[in-house]
Amino acid sequence: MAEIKRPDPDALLANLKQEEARLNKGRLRVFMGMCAGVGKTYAMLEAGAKTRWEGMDAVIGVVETHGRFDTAALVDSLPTFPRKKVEHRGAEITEMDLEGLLARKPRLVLVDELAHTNAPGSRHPKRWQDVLELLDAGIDVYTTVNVQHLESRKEAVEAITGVPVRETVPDSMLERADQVEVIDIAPALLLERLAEGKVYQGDKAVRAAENFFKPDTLTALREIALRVTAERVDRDLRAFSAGKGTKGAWNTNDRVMVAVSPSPNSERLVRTARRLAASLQAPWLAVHVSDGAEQSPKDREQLRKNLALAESLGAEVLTTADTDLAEALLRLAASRDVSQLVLGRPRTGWLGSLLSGGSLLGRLTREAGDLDIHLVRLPRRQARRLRGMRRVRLLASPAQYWYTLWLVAGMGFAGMVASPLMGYRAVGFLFLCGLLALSLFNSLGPVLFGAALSALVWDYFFIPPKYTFIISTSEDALMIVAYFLAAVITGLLTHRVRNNQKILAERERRTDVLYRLVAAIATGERGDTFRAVSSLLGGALKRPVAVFLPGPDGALLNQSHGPEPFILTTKEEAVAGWALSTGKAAGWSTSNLPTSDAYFTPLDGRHGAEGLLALRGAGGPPLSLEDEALLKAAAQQLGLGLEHERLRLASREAEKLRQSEQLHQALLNSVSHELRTPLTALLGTAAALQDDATISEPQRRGALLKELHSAGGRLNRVIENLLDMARLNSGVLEPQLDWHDPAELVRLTLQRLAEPLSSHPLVLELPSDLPLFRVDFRFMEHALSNLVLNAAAYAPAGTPITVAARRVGERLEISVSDQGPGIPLEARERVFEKFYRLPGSPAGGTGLGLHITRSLLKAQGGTAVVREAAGGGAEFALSLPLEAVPPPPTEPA
Amino acid sequence: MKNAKRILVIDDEQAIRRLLKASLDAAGYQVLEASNGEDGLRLAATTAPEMVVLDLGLPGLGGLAVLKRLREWSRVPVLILTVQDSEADKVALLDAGADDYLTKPFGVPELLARLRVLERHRLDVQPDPLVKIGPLEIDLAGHVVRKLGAEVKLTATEWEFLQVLALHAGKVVVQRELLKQVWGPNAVEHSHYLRIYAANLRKKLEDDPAEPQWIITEPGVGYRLKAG
Repeated sequence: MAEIKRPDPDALLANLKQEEARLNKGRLRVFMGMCAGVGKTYAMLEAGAKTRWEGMDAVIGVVETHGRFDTAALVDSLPTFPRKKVEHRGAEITEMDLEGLLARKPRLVLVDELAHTNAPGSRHPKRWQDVLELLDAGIDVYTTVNVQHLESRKEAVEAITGVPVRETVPDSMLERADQVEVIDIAPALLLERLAEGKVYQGDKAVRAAENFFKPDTLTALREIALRVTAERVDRDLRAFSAGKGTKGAWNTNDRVMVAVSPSPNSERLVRTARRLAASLQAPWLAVHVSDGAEQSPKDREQLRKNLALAESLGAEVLTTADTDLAEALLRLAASRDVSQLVLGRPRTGWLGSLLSGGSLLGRLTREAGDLDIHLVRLPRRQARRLRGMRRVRLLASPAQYWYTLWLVAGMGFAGMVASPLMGYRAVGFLFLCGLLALSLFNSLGPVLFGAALSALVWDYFFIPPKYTFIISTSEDALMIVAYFLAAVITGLLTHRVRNNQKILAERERRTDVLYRLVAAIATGERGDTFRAVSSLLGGALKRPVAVFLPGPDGALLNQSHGPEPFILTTKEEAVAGWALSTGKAAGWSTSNLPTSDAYFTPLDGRHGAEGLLALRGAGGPPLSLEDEALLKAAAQQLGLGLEHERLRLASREAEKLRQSEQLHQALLNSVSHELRTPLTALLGTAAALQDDATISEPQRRGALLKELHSAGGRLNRVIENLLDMARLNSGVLEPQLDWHDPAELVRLTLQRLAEPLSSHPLVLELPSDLPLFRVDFRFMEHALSNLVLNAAAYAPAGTPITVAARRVGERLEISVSDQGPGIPLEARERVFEKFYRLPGSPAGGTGLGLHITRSLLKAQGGTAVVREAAGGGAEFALSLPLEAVPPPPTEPA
Repeated sequence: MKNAKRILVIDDEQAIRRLLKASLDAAGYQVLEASNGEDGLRLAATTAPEMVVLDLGLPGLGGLAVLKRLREWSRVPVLILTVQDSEADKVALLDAGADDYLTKPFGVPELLARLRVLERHRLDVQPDPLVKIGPLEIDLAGHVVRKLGAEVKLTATEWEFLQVLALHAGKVVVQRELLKQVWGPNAVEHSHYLRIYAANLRKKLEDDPAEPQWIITEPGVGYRLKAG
């Protein structure tokens, strides 16, 4: 039983997330009243003025005084942020200046009337969306709302007042609030204020009194308002106990699912489900199962509205396609661990039940297992609506009916010919065959029409007495009824099978598109990926699609150069910018800035939007739910892919950094030695030269001066190596290729090293016919110096060092061989690694020389290798590709 | 020391100025010192030195900028001291009007030799038609080169190559300049012409073509005919 008391990890996580979110986001305080006139605005202004007193930067975003004097007086005590003027149909409307406020960024904004609908062309259709954005920007908001505007109370209020409520605020706004205050006033007192003209002036007051302001109405509204607050207190308490694991925390793992259809009544279902979920403190899902039939634009719009409502009330929205509703619901319920299913009470007739394999409810109850099913009664208009929908489905083009007519006529003619041979009853089978063929290619309407028509034709022309609709024998009557039923049922079944196939094909197509999207994202170059994604999606949705990523200066750049250019207008750019910064879909077909022609959905990574997926939509029908789901899935995959790439780059960067840190450490260790050796020699010799006795002895003086010079040379070479290492590391070392004579290169290099090489005889093997090669002289000089000096350091003094240049096929090779101890086989690759030094190496040396040598060669397209020299020592070789040398212009001899 | 040549040294590092002063004093020059570009330009204008030694890496007004400003009104020979070992930078310097350059660290004898060449070029505005370098005698007027008195046969292109070097004897001639003068402006990228013709010239003029004494390669920059 200890299990029950353990806090739900999800709940804890949700709490943490909420708290974390609150750290960065503005705090919302809601002043709620049962109706207008209770003094919400006054209370809000008073609270705002108080914070102003305390030194907080509070401004009025928007406040309506409705001509109330006391309220107007309070407004003057606070600075009012100027409103924005919006032109709408010639009239000038003022709205809260959201953009201005976001730019000004005060600590607190007072926003009256949360449920207000903004003028068309505003950033959001609703003011509460403006408030959300203010909060997201870290600005505190005080706002007012009447209880009738709460989404979940709308119907209750309508029932009480009989007045339709047009503007609503999602309940999630209230849940989002950090503080909800009910401004309560006794109904009698409110009526008194109304009578005194303190609430409304003139005939507005009279009208208001007729509708809202009746004592029993007010009492009911008051009760609702108080209940809302009570629920909230209850919820806070539960949230507290869930987080703390106190006894009494919920111990269910409930999950509520509601089935949503394109009917307006589904809104009611959604609200019921939300209430159930809230009372169970359970997460909830709203699902729509499409049966593949074409929806009318009106239905599509209503469905979108229903699902948007569910989403705004906190539901997770899912859509799927299946002809078998029960099967789809059960599948989803099982996969999402749903415990409570909310359905409208179905009105399928006995025939429908028979055709769909039993009534929906029957099947659900039979196969539901642990699922609790809640049935919600739907008002009458639902039934009418359902019949209306059927009519829509029967619609087919007149041509189809025309063909059907001709087919039946043709079959009738065939029957005329055949009936003398096989009797009039067999004609029925002929008709049945024809109908079966018809149902394979036609929609339901013509099939049913054909069934009825052919039954009549059969009766009239074939069944005796001929040329009447009268049926004389009971056998014939039975025949024709059976025929009609069989025709209708086969027609329906074939239609269903075809529909199913269509859905499957469509699903298949989407899966295929998605699969190819994922494949395109997982592989390939960035540019290719974006191109592939936009052409795939563009093809699937039949609209131009593009991927936009923010450039280094923040401007959005089109990354997918599809067949048609996708250029953003200034307005679209603003919409895109908003979508990118908020991480929400915006533009056409959404509720954010919907007047735009383009739709933008963010490419979500875990740390905000990485870019945008854009679709040019205006002109066509609105985006279907499936299409939107496809776009979002693509956007998500792209977002994750981009983020993945960014993280990979970051980790590569980190690896580079780690290496460079290691480099620094090793440099410090070895360089101190490398630098100090020649420095010590320099300082020591200089000191000795200051000695009078030394100065007077020319021979000794000469030796010391020579040493001074050679120590300086050594120091210079160490520094050159270090500089080149640093340049190689930072990638700024670019070879400057030019034609050079290899023999001259070797000679010039060795000339400069005459002194450090003085203890080793040099053997040069430089044939006179060496071709020119294209290299960077300094790179080559440096690389060769390293090899020669290495040989001098490792080979015993007096042993010869051979430097040879030769042509090997299409390459030129310069080799340096010594008669030293050589390099063991297993170390021959490692000697080229950074900081690798052979065990037992002479003191000094950074372990960088050979690494630099190889890097320098690589930069010129060459290689550096080591092998065993003929005499047993080490032989290092630099190998470079040869190019054809274009001959100089010939000249007369 | 009334007739001593005045040399202006512009270098921000005291150590280098000290070294230059000591060695140039010893060689009989009169040394003027400036520790930054502005002072250097002022001194150059007020004292009219015979030669300028300019450090490239000056703080503030950089060496290249000083060189360019100086060239606006003066043709005084300028020797640049540079730590940059990129050949492109050296070529850029020579193009901007420097007469020669020395890469740090450098030896004092080398410095003095370069200064002598500059001095000579400053004096003869009209180049000597007979350039004598070691055993070589290049008669620019007569289009003839003699080694130890014997005429050496050159092709027309070889002669032009040698002529350009001889006109600037002792000074480095930038690769592009050489190519332009000998082969024309379209050939400036064809550095392999130079390698081939330098090798030919060495075969004809040097004692040991593998260890040239007179026709010197300045890797990545150009060629120099060593001053006698």
